[in-house]
Amino acid sequence: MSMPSSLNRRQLLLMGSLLVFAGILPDHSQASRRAARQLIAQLTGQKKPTKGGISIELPPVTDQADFVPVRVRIETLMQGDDFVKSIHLAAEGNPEPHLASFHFSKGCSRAEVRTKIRLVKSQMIIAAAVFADGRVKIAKKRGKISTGPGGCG
Amino acid sequence: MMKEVDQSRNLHLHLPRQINKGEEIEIKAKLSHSMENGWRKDADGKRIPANQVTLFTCYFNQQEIFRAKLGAGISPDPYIAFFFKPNQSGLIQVRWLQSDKKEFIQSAKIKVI
Repeated sequence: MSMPSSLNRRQLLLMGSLLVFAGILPDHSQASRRAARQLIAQLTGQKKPTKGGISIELPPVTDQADFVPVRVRIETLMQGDDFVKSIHLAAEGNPEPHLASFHFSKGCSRAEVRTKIRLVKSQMIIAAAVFADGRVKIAKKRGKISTGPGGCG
Repeated sequence: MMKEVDQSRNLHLHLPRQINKGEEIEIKAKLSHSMENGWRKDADGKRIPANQVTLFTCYFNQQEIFRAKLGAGISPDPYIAFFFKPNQSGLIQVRWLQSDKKEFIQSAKIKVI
């Protein structure tokens, strides 16, 4: 079997990460991770977030990168201080970190929302819930994108 | 400025027609829309202009009950589902707002017995 004349994806990725490691190529992934975290901090009002009681559901792996279903749920009575005002979603590896922000009113019986998002590659998703008293809960989950049979994702 | 209402798109709005008082409903809404982010190029190499829906609002008897600000990472044919407890019969209305101020609107009645 003859070698292909052009570089395949695997070889390009390997070269790219070597160049980043050597300090020759800038590391965009660090910048976009930072952008996602800064966005969440901005949207949630900078109150120190806690973990627990909030879940993100994503398919374990998908090749439909433009249509990734996601569900965010917060365990809460949705009353008084435990009323969830907003849920914010951000992506650490997309060109634009903001996915969506959902705002609930008193008639909303659950702090829960489902939507579909676009992920340009496998990456971490951040969900943040803001309560009526300003408390913030945060969760992170990895969305895995496969490139089809034989892909490295 | 009057928002232009566009009748040309496919909208889907799913919710039960009737419930007992005290029950919650899941409202599921979808809009046929390419959600172009302005980065793609067509077959001739020309950039396809950005055209995005940036805001989704839901009303019950003309009062806003839910809103979603949509970022660049929302899928084409945007889909949103959430829960609501109507305390009386009425009209659920969803509005999808495009960045050029065009709006896509759909309504459905719910009976509470």
